[in-house]
Amino acid sequence: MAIKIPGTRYAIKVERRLEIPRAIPALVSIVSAIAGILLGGIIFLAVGINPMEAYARIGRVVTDPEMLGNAIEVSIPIMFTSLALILPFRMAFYNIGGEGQFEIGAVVAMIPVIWYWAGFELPGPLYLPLMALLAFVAAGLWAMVPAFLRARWKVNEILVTLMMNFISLQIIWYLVSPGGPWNEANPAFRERYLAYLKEQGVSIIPGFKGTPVIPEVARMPTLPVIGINAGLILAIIIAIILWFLSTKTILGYEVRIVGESEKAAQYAGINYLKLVLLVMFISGGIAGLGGFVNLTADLLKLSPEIATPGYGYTGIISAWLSRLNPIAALFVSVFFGILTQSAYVMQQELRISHYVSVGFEGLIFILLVIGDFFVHYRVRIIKR
Amino acid sequence: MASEEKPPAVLMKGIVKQFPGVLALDHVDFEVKAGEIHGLLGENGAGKTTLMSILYGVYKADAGEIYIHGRKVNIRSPKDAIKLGIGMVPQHFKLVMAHTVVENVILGLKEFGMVLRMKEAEKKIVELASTYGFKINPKAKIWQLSMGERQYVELLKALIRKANILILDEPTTVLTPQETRELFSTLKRMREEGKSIIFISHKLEEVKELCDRVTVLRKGRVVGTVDPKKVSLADLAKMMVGREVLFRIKKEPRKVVSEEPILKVKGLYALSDKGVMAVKNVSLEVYPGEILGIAGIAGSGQEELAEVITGMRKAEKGKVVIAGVDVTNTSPKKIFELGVAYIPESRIYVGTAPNLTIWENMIMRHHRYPPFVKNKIVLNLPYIFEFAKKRAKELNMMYSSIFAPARTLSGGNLQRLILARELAETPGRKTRLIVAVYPTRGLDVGATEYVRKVLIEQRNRGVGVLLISEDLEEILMLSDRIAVIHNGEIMGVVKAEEANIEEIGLMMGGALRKTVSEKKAQ
Ligand SMILES: Nc1ncnc2c1ncn2[C@@H]1O[C@H](COP(=O)(O)OP(=O)(O)OP(=O)(O)O)[C@@H](O)[C@H]1O
Ligand SMILES: [Mg+2]
Repeated sequence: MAIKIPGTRYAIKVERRLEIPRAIPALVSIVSAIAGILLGGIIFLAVGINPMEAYARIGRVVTDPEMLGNAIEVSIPIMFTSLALILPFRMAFYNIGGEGQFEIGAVVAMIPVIWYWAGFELPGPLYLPLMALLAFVAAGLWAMVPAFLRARWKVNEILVTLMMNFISLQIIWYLVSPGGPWNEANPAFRERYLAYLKEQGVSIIPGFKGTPVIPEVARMPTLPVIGINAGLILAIIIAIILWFLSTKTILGYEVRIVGESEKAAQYAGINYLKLVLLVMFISGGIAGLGGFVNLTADLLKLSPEIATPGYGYTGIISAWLSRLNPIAALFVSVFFGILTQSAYVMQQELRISHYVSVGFEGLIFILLVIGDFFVHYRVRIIKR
Repeated sequence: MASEEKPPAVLMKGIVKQFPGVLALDHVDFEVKAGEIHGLLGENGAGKTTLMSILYGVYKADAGEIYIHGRKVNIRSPKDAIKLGIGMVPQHFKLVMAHTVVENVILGLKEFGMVLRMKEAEKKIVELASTYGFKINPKAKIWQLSMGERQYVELLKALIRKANILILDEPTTVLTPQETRELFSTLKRMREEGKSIIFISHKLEEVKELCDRVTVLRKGRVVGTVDPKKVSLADLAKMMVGREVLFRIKKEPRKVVSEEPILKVKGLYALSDKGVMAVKNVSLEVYPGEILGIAGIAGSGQEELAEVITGMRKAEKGKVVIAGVDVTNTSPKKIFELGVAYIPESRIYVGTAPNLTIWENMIMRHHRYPPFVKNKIVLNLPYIFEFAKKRAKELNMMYSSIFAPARTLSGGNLQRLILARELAETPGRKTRLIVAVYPTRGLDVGATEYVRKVLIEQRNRGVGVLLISEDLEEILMLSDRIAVIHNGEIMGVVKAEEANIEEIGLMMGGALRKTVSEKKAQ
């Protein structure tokens, strides 16, 4: 493919790279991120803000320990949603359902909390482990549905996982809307919940869309010294487990073969159905844990707002840019966290619209994706 | 023959190509005259494909110069090569299976407009084909075509781009003798038109018949260029390998090991990918310590038969019993566990996963059994790496490192990888039956000799071998009994000592049927 540059004797030519030099992916990602940030300056100019002012905020986010802490905190859900995709993507199973699995994890993790407000209390230390387990198993089972449909009837997994994202959000709406069984104004919670709110200095139950607040016993603890929630540790442990699984075990090996060729996998005696169910159970489970962490560390109540940031979708980009390497996925997620946090600080301090900062973030995403193109293709200018 | 005044169609001078860990080409000089068919010979991994890939712009040479029709050129991509009139039919076809012939041929061509003028393209393809004396249905999907027809599609791709220098990388390995003859007459017609053809093959007789001159490569260097009519086959082989090659292998008479067949197939029916019955009422037995050869024109159902036996394809009717166990429609895993080695027809994407490393390919199928795995979960990597290196060495594989992707192996070395893995004896698993489909396809004379020796060795140790080959000579040389397949049916089974080439030929063509005697063919 060659595109002529009008009025000159030159043309631009795009070719697929045969061998991808090792250093290129990292280099390109860095260059495109910087390019995105510089280009973003134009957006700021357009709304009458000195780009240097905006960049200074990004600088602050990376250098100020507290702000960096916040940025990392924001990145934790993305860590989970991107880690979740590593195994399925490696076996060419395109799970776009991270968002739904994330939400289902949060929903099911909520069950012991609902019991709590309804008057059924468990021993305190049991809450977090139980909620995590419920989130993992439920989201894992949820994610096995598209796996089964694909393995049995060759139903396209992209469509199924995407559609299931709408279902999970509908489930939340049903549960927490005013009049719904989990809505905070449900009379079953009234006595205990009102007593709790009074302690906080509130005297009525507002009855917004949302569940009652999670009690202290069931909240994610904050790590000492760095002041970030303990979900970070969980994400790091999962990344290490995933690294181990994919490089050192039969599971990772079989995933690679399936990703290469289903025929070779059959030849190798791999049972596709069993493998894809297992992989999607793990994948959904990790995304579900993300929902659990987001719920217990940040949101503190279940409401449709859980879907607003679209962590499940950001996870797809993050997993892709990390080239399905679990350790890299952690860092890419932090980068996204820094972006989000910078956008937030700009909003606050420069009084710009939410949309400007979102546009800025989007621009950087797009440049990263374009950059990825250059990893696989080479562009040359040729003279006619 | 080409006139001497004309500059050579291709002149490559001092070509060097270094891959990580392998010097693939070491100052190679190569010349093809206009209007000649030039053979390129060499062992597996000698650098034939690499040299041609450089000419076609797939790889860039580290050093050296290329002249096309006397003009110095700089070929940086296949696009550049096509512009210079160079076309290549690759060793492993690059066709899109689900697309039609036309779609494949005109892929990337601008000639037929942005909105493709299909009718026009179809007409042009049919015309072009008939110019060179072959027929093709432009609307057929690639997966419906035989290997020979796919070859023609690749050839058409080059011709429609007006190639006058054609590179054919082992075109005949996948063809039936009939298809080979047809291809040769097509190629000769092209030569008459003044096209230059570079022909790579491991079949020395073919090279002798077809080529005007032959260049032999060994380990990345040119051994020499000769007139094949003036040297013997043995001399050609010696030039390639650097030692004498046995064309015939000694085989002791078979010692009866057991009365119980290791493989028993009864009344088997199976469908092909196209959904037609490809295996029809096949019954046969393989006994321990014997080689049962299946002779037949490629595509007569023998590949499907092998797939059903190894669990890769569903049996519609009938039974497969291995070592006394009914394995009909079980799984490749179960059949592997019974000690069945399987060398599949298709090396890439079945027999190997080309983007995975050599070590990963070397343990496929073995990977879930100790000592390859510890506690059923963790791969025993130190053992695996040792195993991969050891097996690669035992099969004389040429490779840079076991961590390199399998696709960097030359065609013949890829076949060796499969053999290295399938013929490996591992603790706890003994090979009892080998199902070998075209095992020497694409191997050089030395490696062919080696594989044949190994098959006989295994037979002598009491392993049963089901050998599927389109090379009648190979079948006659190795088999104890020969079953002839035609159009999915067994036309008869004959003892090798009593085999009569003529008769087998007639049976392969379906003109003769020998009723199989019911008594055991011992
Ligand atoms: N992309 C690559 N990266 C690394 N090594 C390579 C690559 N391609 C080829 N080689 C190595 O270069 C050598 C020559 O390979 P080549 O494919 O040219 O052999 P060949 O003569 O065509 O053999 P065959 O008859 O088996 O097809 C081999 O040792 C092969 O492993
Ligand atoms: Mg080759």
